[in-house]
Amino acid sequence: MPSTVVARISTRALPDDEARRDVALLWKEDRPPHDTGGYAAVITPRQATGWSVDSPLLSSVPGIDYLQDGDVIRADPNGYVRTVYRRNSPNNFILTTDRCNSYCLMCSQPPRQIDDSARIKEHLRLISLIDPETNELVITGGEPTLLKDDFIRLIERCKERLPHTAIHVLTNGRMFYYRRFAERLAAVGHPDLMLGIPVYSDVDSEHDYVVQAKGAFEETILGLHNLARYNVPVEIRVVLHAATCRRLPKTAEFIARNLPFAAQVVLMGMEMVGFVHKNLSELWIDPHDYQAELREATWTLARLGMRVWIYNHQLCVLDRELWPFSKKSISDWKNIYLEECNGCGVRNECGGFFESAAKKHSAHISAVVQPQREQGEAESAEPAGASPLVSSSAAKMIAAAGGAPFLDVGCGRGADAILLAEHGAAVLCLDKDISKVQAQQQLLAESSRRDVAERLTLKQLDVLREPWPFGPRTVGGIINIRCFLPSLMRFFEHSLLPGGYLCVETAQGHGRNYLDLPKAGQMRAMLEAGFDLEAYEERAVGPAQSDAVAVRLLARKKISYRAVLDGELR
Amino acid sequence: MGQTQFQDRERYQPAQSYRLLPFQFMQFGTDARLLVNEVGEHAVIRETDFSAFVRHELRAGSDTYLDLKAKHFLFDSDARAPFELLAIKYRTRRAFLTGFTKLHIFVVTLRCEHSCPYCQVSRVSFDKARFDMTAATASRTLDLVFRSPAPDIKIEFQGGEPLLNFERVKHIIEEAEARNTGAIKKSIEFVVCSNLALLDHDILEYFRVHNVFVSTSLDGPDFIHNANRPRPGGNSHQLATDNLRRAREALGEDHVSALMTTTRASLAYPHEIIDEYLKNGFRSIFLRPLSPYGFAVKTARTTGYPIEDFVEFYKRALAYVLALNRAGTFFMELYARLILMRILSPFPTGYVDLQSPAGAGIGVAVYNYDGDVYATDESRMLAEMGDKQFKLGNVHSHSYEAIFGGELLRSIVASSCVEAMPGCADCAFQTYCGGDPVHNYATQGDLVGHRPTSDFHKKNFAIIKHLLELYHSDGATRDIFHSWLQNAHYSS
Repeated sequence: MPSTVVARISTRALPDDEARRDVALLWKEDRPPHDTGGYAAVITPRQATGWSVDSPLLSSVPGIDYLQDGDVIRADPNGYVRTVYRRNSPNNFILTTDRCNSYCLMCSQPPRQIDDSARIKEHLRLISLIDPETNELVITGGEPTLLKDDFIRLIERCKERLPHTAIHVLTNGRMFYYRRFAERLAAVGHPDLMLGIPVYSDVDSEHDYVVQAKGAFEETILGLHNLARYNVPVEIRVVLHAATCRRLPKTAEFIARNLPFAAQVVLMGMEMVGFVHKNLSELWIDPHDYQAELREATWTLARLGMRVWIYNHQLCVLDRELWPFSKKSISDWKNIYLEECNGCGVRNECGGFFESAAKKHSAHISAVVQPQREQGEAESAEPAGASPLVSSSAAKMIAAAGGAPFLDVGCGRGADAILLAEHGAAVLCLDKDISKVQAQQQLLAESSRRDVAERLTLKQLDVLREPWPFGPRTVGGIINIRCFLPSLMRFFEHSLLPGGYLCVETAQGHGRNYLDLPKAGQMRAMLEAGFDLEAYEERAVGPAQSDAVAVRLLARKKISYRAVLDGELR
Repeated sequence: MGQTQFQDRERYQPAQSYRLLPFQFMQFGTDARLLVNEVGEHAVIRETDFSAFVRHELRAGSDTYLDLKAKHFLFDSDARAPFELLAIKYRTRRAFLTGFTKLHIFVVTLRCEHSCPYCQVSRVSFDKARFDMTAATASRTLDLVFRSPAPDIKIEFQGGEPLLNFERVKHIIEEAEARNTGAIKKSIEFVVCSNLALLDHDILEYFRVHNVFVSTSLDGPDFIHNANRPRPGGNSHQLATDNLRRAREALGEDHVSALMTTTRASLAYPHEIIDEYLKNGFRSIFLRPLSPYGFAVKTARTTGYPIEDFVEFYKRALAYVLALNRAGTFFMELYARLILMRILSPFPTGYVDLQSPAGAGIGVAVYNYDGDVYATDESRMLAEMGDKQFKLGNVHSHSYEAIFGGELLRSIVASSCVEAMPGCADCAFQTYCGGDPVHNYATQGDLVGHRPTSDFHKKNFAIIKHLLELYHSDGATRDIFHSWLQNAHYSS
């Protein structure tokens, strides 16, 4: 192999040379392929002794059975092959550089002081090979912004080649201390960019200690403000450990008062990797022992109108009050469960552990016992006819959509979607089982209401398990009747056009579904910042201590929800 | 970069001793001080810590030290961030000033069929020609309204009883809608302040079609309301509550609100008044004292009371509201909510009657039936009593520049900045409060006024102090206050 190859996998031979240039042909058969000219590489797990191949050949490559069409690999001149993009994974990332200007006590990806600036060519090439339908791509490091001009080029390339892909950059934000750098990033005009930036304390001395860099707090805080000035969306990340927990509620208050423009705040459990082991005595605290601080911090943020998520926490350790804020954040292929988890009633709702937690984890892991579903109680049957909330608001919602299509999320038989279509709206009906709405559409098409049937588009999608496939600001209205989970809210807000309506009616209480229902006030709190509530109704359901409510609401997305105007917090 | 060793905490401690940033303070309880800075952040610290703090003897790294540093009461390095944060928070808090005049009040008639003794201006009369706003005056007024740079404006109809000149209300709404078609459209909200006695189906339907908000008076149960608000038939309360219900059904709950005015007759009945609001389906109440204007001054002997009595009434009412919340009924007192917003959030709160500089003219303008323009509703009431001190001009004879850029408005603004007003400049509550030069003038004879004898000061000082004490008294009260800010019921 003369030089490094970055290429897209194809398991089938391609007919024309033009298309072959970007492709690594993955060949698993015993006999060599014919007509092998023009590929970026031919790659095979076989020994390939005596094969005659007209493109660079990588043979005896281990562990590539799982590779699929559209995945991207990198092969270095020594023939070492690494997968750099997996088309079917929701967790793709680009590790831009190993260098970092901080040296965090708990760094999970310890930096290396090497000049790897030449790697930018591979990153840019990778971006042009990634499937443009990819939902999300994480840009991480090291510290990606140390690439300076090349970092801006990287984001430009994302915008150019992956206009529908959400880009999440993990950065310490220090480079944005230089206002011009923030301005340049904003000038790229990426449609769906979010910067995740850590703030570990409300005072510089504590933050600087955690990131082991004097002056880092100053640069990060001013960097965040520069990003806000140019309307670049940011997310604040706080990793929880002994050094950050002590002032966590105060840190939350500081964030709400000084960084209220942040789109969300993420409070993260610590992953037991990297530098954590070197600094364990400084960092370790059993998550069970910081629940009071976590509770106070979460409510402080939520009450002051900020969106809060808790990542990397097991439900059995997390205060029940905080469950609605918890997100199954550990990717499916990375997480594990312990022996204690056997028989747990909320295992499916729980993210489990990072693999690294097998060595050290909370001493309070135990199976959660849930009340049994009462006998004879069935899943709530779908009532006939459209929801009264939808029918009374249809005209208003359609006018506000301005011709953009509606989503009916979890459409069931499609009564609500059909009602909207009767009023002239185009509706995309989503359900994990679309057979019921298909039958209704068929009936419509056969009757005199063919036009109504034609305004319905059906798509099979399990929104609770599959990635959310819709881009930002693409739909004119969303109705979500009787299949709601609070975790869907961020997707709804993401894809709804400003001015569009969101109409939600949760399931009524039945059996143990109160675990899926929002808590009293939670929905209102989630919507307050980004929406004007036009109707909102809560009804308590489930056991008294569960605090779950059934909700009906009609909300209109505000025109400018981030509300950062001329660099001023509003 | 190039680090390979971890450094201990000590290395990141400040190299310099600390310096103080600007703040005001006061005694808080027996053993503590309240500190408030210019951006509204507050801290309550022990007396001993306070003494150490101001002597520059507070130990770096102690919790109090870090708390005061994080809230920007002290700084200990050459870092720029504390000052940038203070600056942006200061601008944010003053953002209610951007856009200039947002609330435009049209007095479409002075006539009313009620004859309330505390009313500031209205009169029972059938002389339309004398007391109604003409079409020409309305159109000329809209010229001025559309000159206002604010992108979001509110047009409020007052009187008298505006429904007695409903034709003019419709004319103004429709003309405003028709004019608002330029390249940059304003968002316009219409509010009709009415006693609702004349509400009928056609009017309600009109409100619904044009998305009009309704604000009405509800002073409490019938024996208080009817005593405060006499009309032929003595049925003001019945009409008000019946029509409230109809309006709510037709327009939706969020489009209908009520105001209460506290008279001497109200003082003994805080619970009954709040219960009346609950009974009528409200989730909040705004407890307001009498204004020292208009007929209220003439009838002070029968309706008035010392301001201390109002404060007492307010505290009792608030205690009852909190008890209701603790028992699970979500219900807010809106004046408390306003003050708490200023204490607990970094965001600006536009409330023209309590801000610095005052909202007179720059936040609100009142267009009287005869075309005269006043800086506040209170200024035109003063004018009805014969003192046109705060008349900014007339829509027919003065330009927008003359009215809103003239010497009078400039002097009102200049004399209503609490930062520079005697008695306010050193007050710990300064950033939560505001100035009211019209009130000062009406009650004390000059724009600046005299704080120790001011009812405005006594009321606001007592209420702000009370709210801060309640906030720091127990967690349950704190939770309730926070739920008001979110306008939601939390159970944490």
